[in-house]
Amino acid sequence: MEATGKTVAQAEKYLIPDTQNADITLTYDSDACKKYIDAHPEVPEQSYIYMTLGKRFGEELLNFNGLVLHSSAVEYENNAYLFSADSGTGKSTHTGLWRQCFSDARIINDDKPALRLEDGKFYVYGTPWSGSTPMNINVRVPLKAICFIERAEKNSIERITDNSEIIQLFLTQTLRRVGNDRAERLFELLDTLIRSIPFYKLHCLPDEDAAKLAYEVMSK
Amino acid sequence: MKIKDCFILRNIAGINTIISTDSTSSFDGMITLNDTGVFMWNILKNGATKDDLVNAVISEYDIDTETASADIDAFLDKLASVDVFE
Repeated sequence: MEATGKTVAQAEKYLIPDTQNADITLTYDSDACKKYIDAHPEVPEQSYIYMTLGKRFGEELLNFNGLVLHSSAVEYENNAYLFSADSGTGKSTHTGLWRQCFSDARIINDDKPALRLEDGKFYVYGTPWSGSTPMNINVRVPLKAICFIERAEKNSIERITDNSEIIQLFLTQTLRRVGNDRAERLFELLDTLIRSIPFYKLHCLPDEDAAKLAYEVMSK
Repeated sequence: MKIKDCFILRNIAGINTIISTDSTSSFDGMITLNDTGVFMWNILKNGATKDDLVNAVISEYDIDTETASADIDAFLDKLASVDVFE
């Protein structure tokens, strides 16, 4: 990666010495960058580059049987659980509570983990793009379940059985405007994903009971 | 009427799903269609007049012209409202 500053700092644990044989090369348009920074002086250039390259990564990954889901991914007992929702709903709070309840739980990526289909199974990967925190680890963990969370007055969880609802919820948390070819890949992956792993909806308070409930049901 | 090229339709786990894949449409949501909707969508993808569509529907389905015409009007209005047509 030629990018400096934030992107490289976050990517440190992922760097390998061989830069000649990259599967994916991420670039950004410096004119577009300059234009954006001029219009938004409150955004540091490094942040713009970091976000732009993260988006490119999500687009390119679609050519490799993978996609990025806006979610917080927690690993426990070698299973990855993804909690997805709009920003500010409480995804990170919830996975943080998993770490409080289960000392061996780890955050794979707190904002945009990668999912990839390999030999018929989905795996979750850490990436350098983990939002505003550097919480990500360079691991690959089998995906166990995906859960959409909503704030509520009490904790409850249910399996989502309506595929139309799953698709709607999922598509709002992943890149869609990726061109026809990549969108076809996205739809294929989503089709396989829905057929292979369970989707849940969690209504929750930001408390440990929510984490314990989610684990109890999703780990089955 | 012709559907913009930026739209794709695919069946995902039993649900006929449509999105716009770039910003040539302002629509940023998703559309789901039943089988009749898919039938009509595929005709409109290649470009068709309302009459073409009515004729195709009454040939394919056991339904009278008036009902087909009314249903098609509703369908076309819905699509037009989310920036589907060129």
